[in-house]
Amino acid sequence: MGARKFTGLGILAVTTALLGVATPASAREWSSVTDERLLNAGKDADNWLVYGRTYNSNRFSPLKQINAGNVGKLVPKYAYSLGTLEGQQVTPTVNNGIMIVAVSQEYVDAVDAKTCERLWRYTIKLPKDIAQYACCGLVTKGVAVYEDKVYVAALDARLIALDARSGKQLWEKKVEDYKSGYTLTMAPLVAKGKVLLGVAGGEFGIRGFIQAFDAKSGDALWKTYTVPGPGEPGYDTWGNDSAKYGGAASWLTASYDPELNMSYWGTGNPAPWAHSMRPGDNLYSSSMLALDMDTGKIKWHFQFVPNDGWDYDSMSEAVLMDVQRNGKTIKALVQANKNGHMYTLDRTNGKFISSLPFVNVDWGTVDQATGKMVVKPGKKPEMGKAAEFCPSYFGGKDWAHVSYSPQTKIAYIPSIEMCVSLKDEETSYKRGSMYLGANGEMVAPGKGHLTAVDLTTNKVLWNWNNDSPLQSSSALSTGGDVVFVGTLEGKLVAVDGKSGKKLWDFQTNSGIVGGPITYAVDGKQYVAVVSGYGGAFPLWAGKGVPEHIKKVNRGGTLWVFEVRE
Amino acid sequence: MLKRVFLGLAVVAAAISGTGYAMGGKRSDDAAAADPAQRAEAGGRLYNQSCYKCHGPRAVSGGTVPDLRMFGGGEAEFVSTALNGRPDTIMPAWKEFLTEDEIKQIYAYVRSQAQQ
Repeated sequence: MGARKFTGLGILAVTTALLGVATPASAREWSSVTDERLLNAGKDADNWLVYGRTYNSNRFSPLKQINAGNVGKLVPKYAYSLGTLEGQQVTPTVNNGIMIVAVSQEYVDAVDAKTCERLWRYTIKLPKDIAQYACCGLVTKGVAVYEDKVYVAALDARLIALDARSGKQLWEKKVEDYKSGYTLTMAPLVAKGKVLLGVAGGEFGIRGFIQAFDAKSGDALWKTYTVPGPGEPGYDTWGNDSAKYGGAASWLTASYDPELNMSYWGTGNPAPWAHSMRPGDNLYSSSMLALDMDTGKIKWHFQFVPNDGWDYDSMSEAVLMDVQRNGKTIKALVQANKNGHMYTLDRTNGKFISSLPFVNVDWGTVDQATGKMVVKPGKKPEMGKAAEFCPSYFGGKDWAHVSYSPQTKIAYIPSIEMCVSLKDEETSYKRGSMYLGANGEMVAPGKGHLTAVDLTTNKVLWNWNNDSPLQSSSALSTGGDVVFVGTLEGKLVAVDGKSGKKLWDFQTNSGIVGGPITYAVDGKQYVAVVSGYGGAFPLWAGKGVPEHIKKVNRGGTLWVFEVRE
Repeated sequence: MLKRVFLGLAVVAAAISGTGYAMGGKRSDDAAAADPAQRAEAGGRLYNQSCYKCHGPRAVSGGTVPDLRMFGGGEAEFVSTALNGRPDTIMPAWKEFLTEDEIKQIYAYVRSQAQQ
């Protein structure tokens, strides 16, 4: 019986191999990703060339073959196993029918986006001790593409350029020393011939920075620290000589406004978490920075969370759009902050316009004249004294990205309802170790909702509720007025963009912590998402993890869906 | 098999614990001579600096790494796993960051959490 079984498997394997040989090579050809194509990505419905699909990070696709009327007929086209148990936070990239998938920090795969045939694989070689220096697993958000290259931000703080046609490595540049806690988990931003990166490592006492590299040669062009040095403006906002290990990592992909020539970067928490060790506002932590694309100079800043003591780092993406308020058109920048407020700023100058709580917020309010947090007594952790507050250090929104539909003028926010009790404790810096000075405990298992905010009226329209936090999977809105989002349960869900009514879902193999995309090949629209549970939530949430989520198995798989009539 | 799994978990936990050198307050040398409750308290500070980022707040696992409160091995296994890491997993070797006695303090903390 056993022998017969193995014989059968052998035949199957041989057959598969023969089929593999017999299968004609993919007809897909890489087309150069020019500046013009990147600048016009909004009109290029078939492709997904930029991390947020467009430089404005709207995560909106004008494709509408799949719409509210037929999304119920969505079925899997194929499932492509990625061969890993690591968390899959990737937003895939699609260019001319070729999909690039960064498989955690292990591989980069190029596959035919219509058939899932693998075209090439690049193996990311990491040092054996890298896990010591990573806060949240061996994760990556994705790659960037430009002309004929694919750019990979490796976890051990290297920028790697690959040949987009073969996957062969062209060059690599050391960005920083990972043994000092500097890591890279973001998808780079490429614009104006530059590759822009921000480092991660805010829990390790790094000094955050954003750096630009020449896209052709990899040569470093400019570098802007997110924590000022001695003598620089803002240095005096770090008491007790605390700036040196001040954190403020910009660990998510920036947005870019070509007309204003500015890139926009959210910055992370200051280090350590224990705020009394760094008296002052701690510029430019937990802020939004607008940088000149050519020089890296800070054109303006807005600090959401002065002297952050909650880990309300403000790394979240800047979503750019024009909004109508009181009869005026505002060049807006919207950020759904971890503190539970969605902020609207004027992106030309950083001026505060408004904020809106989109989850349960109990720490206080935001002054609508100044944009400053007004915190209730007892709602900020102190040394040796715990404070209970909502939202937790995972935020009302974590790094899962907002989608904005210019059709409905609605922002769709993947949200978290969870509270924490956090207490500060003495700590001291040691290279390569965590620099927190705090410990906490979630009050209860978290929940989540997809929150729709009308940006014209600045009001919440509806919530689609989920039994676990929408912590990592980004939203995607489409010209078909459908909004997609993944859940930790592993479901890819489609809701009506106007009403929030659930229209469809599909149970994938694992939990979804990556970003869904849509694209078209040969005139047909597809929806894709990578499933593969992991990342920070199961590592840092403890009692905040719902029991049913603890049963989710790991394993990375790319799912592609189509409407079958 | 189960034992190996728990060992691995323990190592992960230890790895996460990081180093006691960086901790403020009482040093591990002081804790070495302290009573069990003080050792567990010192171990908690070490845990927060090293293990928290994977094994979770108060040693409550979120499900993707071992729950150290369930560790079935003894102190010696816990220490060995933490010092040497677990090859081919995300559990690194902590011997450059933690002393054997500091890992024992972390073990005391984990045991104290298991009893709550």
